[in-house]
This record gives sequence, structure tokens and C-alpha cells, in this order.
Amino acid sequence: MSADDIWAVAFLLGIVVLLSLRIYGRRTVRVFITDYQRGVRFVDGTFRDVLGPGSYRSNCNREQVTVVDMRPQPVALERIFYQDAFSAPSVISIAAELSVGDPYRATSQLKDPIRDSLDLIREQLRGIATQSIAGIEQETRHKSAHAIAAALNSDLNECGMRVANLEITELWSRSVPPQTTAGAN
Amino acid sequence: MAILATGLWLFFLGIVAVRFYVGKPTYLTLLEYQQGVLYRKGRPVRSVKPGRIRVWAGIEKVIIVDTRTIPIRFENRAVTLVDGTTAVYSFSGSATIQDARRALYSAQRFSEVPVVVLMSCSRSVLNRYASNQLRMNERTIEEEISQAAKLKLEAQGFSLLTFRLTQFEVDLPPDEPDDALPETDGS
Repeated sequence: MSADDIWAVAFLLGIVVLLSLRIYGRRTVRVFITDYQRGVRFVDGTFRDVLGPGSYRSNCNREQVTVVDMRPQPVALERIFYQDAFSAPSVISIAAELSVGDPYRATSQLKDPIRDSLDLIREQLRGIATQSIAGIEQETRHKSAHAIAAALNSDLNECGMRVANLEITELWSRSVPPQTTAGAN
Repeated sequence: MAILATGLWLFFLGIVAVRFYVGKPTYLTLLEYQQGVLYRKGRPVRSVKPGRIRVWAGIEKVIIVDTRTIPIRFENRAVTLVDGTTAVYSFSGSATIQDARRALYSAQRFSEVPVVVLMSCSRSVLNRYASNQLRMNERTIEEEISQAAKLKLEAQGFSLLTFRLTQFEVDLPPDEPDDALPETDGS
């Protein structure tokens, strides 16, 4: 094989490679997923898998990758009025961290995972608090916070969300005798 | 001659392939009030200071964090005190980002972290006191809220610059749901 033949073969192969890269490049888009995100990949409209951190090429004709932020979002729900187990007027406020636990469920069941979960939490919180008696001591609050978080998580889990570090920032009920001194700090 | 041409052609193809799979070098300029975290293939590599940096577009990405002061101001918040009376309070404050990387991981919308922390700390502290104690120790309570918020914010890469209770009144009748102060969320 002469040098001219080698050149001809290399040139033709190069053209083929360039054309294929161009065609492939036009059909794909780059998806960059950081370590606090996950990518939910759908192929032909059907869930395929969850992508971890990395840089991916996605075929935009067939695939769709929805990037989900897994970082927590601090939320505060303030002044939720309810009637406790004694039917006494009560008020509760909470602060918590809301995050995505299952990216696929969160994507497929909620349009805006954080905002939609807040409505769910507000309703559930009212329901849980209604069945309890408000205790203003710090220890009782911690126990109540754990119980509320566990109850909320069992419901939120169905839509791929979860709450953590739940703290009761305000709690008062008419059924609890008024105090004139500060509660336990 | 043909061999030289083949070599040059293969070199050109190599560059095209590298640009396709690795990406092309681009430059990014961070302003003096910005910091960033450089990610390569999805993993954090290093923190980036203001200035011009080279990024391989395709496999690298810089997430920019705005470190300018975050002003916080809330007015006419209601809180039920331990003796059953309702107090109305307002506060203002400011916070800044001390550790860009920690702040970036603290929340999805990390600029809201100081807002929610101050909201929850002020409510939590005020709810522990009775109205007569609050009237007498307004400055001490302000300090207590400030300390509680400082600790929480520092753990998340923020620094509390100022905090002040701008209004505090115990004049509402107890346990009356107040239509003017609807329930809110911090999202």
C-alpha cells in the first residue's frame, strides 16, 4: 500500500468520523448533574433510571432528563390554628427542612415538590395536632416534634418527599393553664 | 508529503474528538462579590475566588454564589406568649455568606436560609416568655434571639451581621385568630 493510498483511507475515515460526530452531536444535549442533584431519565415517555452526578449526553429525540435538587429547603409554617383533643382553641408553628427523598416519585407526583408538599404538610399537621394535647414544656415539645415528623414522613414518603429537623417554634392551647414564668429553655 | 498530510489530518480529528467528548476551554469571570464552586463531572473540585478562570465546558461547571449582604425585614408578626396573650413584633436584620461551599449545600434557595432562621428563632424565643417578662427584658430577648440565630447560621455557612426587634407590643386579646396576620410559610 502506497503513501497516497494511506492518505486516501485516512481522509475518508476522517470524513466519516466527522459526519457521525456532527449527526450525533446534533441529536444529543449535554446534561450536567452536580452531586446535590439527580437526573430522572425518561425514554420514549417511560421512566428508565435515575442519573447520579456527572456529565451526560442525552438523546433529545427520545430521552428527557428532569434534574431534581436534593438539597433541603428550610420552611416555616406559622400560626396554624386548630382545636386540640379537648376542643380547645390552639395554635402551632413549625420550622423544618423539606427535601426530596425519591427523585422519581417527587417528579412524577408533584409539579413543584417543595410548594406542593407545604400544602400537604399544613393539612396533615392540623390533623395530627387535633388529636393531641398541647404541652408547652421543652421536652414535651421535642417529643411532639418527633411524633409530628414521623407522621408527616409516612405521608410524604408516598410522594417522594421527607421532612427533617422539625422544630415546634410556637405552641399554645387554651386547655393548658396559663403560665406567668418562662418555659424551660 | 502524504504521510505529513495524514499526520496533520489525524491531529485535527483528535482535536475534534477531544472537543466533542471533553469539551472546549472557555473562560468565566467572577465579580468581586461572587464566589463559586468548580464541579468536574458532577463532583466539587475546588472553591473559586473572584477573577477569571478557565473552565472546560462540557465536563466542568462553576456554580456561582452571590456573597452580598442579605437584608431581612419582617413586620407585624403575631406570636402567642406562654401566658396566652398575643404579641405583635417586627424585626430587621442582615446576614452575609461566610463559606460559599457550605452555604451552597445548605438549601435549594440558600439566600432564604437567614430569613427562615430569623423567623423561627424569634418566634421560638418569644413563645417561651410571658408578656410581663418580655416588656422588662426586651434587650435581653433581642440578644437571645440573635445568639440562637447566629449559631444556626454559622453552621450553614452564613454570618449574622445585625438583628433588631423594631416593634414589640402586647396589646392584642389572647387566642383570637387574627385575620390581618394570616399563616405564612417561609418558602
